Amino acid sequence: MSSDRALIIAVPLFVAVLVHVVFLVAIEGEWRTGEATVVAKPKVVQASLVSLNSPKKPTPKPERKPKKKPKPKPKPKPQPTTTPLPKPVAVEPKSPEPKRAHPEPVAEESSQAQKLADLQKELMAGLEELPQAEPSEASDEFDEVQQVAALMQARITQNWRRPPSARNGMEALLTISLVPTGEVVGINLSTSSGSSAFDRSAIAAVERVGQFPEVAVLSISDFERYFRRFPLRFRPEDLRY
Amino acid sequence: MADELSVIELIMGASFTVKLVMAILVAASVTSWFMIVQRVIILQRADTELLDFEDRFWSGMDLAQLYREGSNAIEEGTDITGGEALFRAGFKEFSKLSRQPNMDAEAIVEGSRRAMRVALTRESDRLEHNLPFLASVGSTSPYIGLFGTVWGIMHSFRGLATSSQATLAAVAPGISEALIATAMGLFAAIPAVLAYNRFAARVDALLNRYDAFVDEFSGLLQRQSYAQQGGRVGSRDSGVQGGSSL
Repeated sequence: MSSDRALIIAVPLFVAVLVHVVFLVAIEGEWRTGEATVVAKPKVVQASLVSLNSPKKPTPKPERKPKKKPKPKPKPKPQPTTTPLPKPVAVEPKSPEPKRAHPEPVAEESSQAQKLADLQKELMAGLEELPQAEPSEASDEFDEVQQVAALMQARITQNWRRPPSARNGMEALLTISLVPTGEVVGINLSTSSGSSAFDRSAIAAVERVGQFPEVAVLSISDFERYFRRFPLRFRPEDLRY
Repeated sequence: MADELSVIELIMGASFTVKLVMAILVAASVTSWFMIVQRVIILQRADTELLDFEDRFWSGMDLAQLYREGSNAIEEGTDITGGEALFRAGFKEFSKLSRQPNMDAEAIVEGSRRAMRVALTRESDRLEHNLPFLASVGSTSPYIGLFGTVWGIMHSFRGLATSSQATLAAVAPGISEALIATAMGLFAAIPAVLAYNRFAARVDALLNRYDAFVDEFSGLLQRQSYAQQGGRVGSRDSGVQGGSSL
C-alpha cells in the first residue's frame, strides 16, 4: 500500500516533469533552426527601411528649384582619396558594385536606393543558397550603414526649417556629395519640389549641417558605396495640409 | 544582433517581474500536469475497480462472504475504495441494525442507505480532489501570462523612449521575451481546461454508477430485511406489507 501511494505520486511527478522537459527541448531545438530565418527576415526588412529612409532625408520640399545648385552633378571629383575604387564621382557611378553581378543603372539619384535594393535582393538570394555566415556578415554591414544613415537623417531633420509654404506631398530630391571625413562637398538639386522656398530650405538644411562626422566610422568601401554621393529626399509628412 | 536568441536566453534576460510571472506559470503547469496524471491513474483505477466489484457482487456469491474477504484485505493493508467501500458501509450497518431487536425493516434499510450515502460522499470527495485546482489554473493562467507580457512590453517601450534611434531591433527582443509569458500561460491553461472538463465528466459518470449501485444494493437489502422480518414476526406481516408498498 505504501508502494501504491508512492506510485501515485512518483509516476505523475515523473510524467509532469518529463512533459515539460520534452517540450522545452523541442521548442529550443525548433527555435534554433527557425532562428536563421527569423533573424534574416528582420534584417531584410530593415534593409528596405534603409533604402527608403536613410538615404533619403525625409521631409519637406519647397517649390522653386532654383537656389544653389552647387556643383552640378559631376562632383568635383571628390578626392577619391584612399578609395580603392577609382570611382570618379563625376558620373555618379557609384561605380558598379564590384560585388554585384549587374551593374547599376546610372540613374544617379536612384543609385543609392537601387544599390540597397539590389543588395537586399542579393541578401535574400544568398540566404537561400549560402551558409548562414554570409548573410549575417552582410547584414552587419547593413546595420552599420543603416545606423549611420539614421543618424544623418536625424541631424538633417533637426536643421531643416520648413517654409510656411511647405505642403504635404511636396518632394525635393537633392544629391549630396561627401568626402570620407563627412564634409559636404556638393549639394545638387536633382528634382525640385516646385516651390523655390522649399527647395532652398532643403539645401539650407544640408548646408547648415555642413559635416556628417558619423560616416567616419564606416569602412572606406562602405563609404564609397553608400555615401560618396547619395540622394536625399525632403518630404514633409507631418503637416496638416 | 545575436543569431542564437534561444528561449532560455530570452527568459534569462527578462525583467524580474516577468521572470516571477514565468516561474508562477511553470509551477502551475508542472503541478497541473502532476494532478492530471494522478487523476488519470485514480479514475482509471476506480473504473476498473467498480467493474471488478460489480462482477463479484452479482456473481451470486454470499454477501457475508464478500464482506469477510474485504475485511481480510483491509487487514493485509489494502485500501478499499469505490463500489466495495459503499457495499461495506451498507452491509455493516445492515447487519448491525438487523441484530438489534425490534428493528423495523424500513428503519434498517433506511439506516444502511444512509451509511452508504455517507460513503458515497467520501468517494466523490476522493475522486474530485484537485479538480478545482485544475479549473483555477485553466481560467487564471492566461491572465497571469498576459500580465507578464504587458509588463514586459511596457518595459521594452520605455527603453525605446530613451534611445535616440528607434529601430525594430531595439524593441523586438523585449517583446519576444514578453510574449513568452503569454505562451506559457496558454501552455498551462489549455491542458488544465481540457483535463478539467474530461475529469468532471468522468467523475460524474462514476458517481452515477455508484448511485445506481447504492440503489440496487438497498433494493437487495430491503428484500432481505422484509424476508427476515416476515419469518421472525408472522403476526406483523400485514403491517410490513403495507409499509413496503409505500
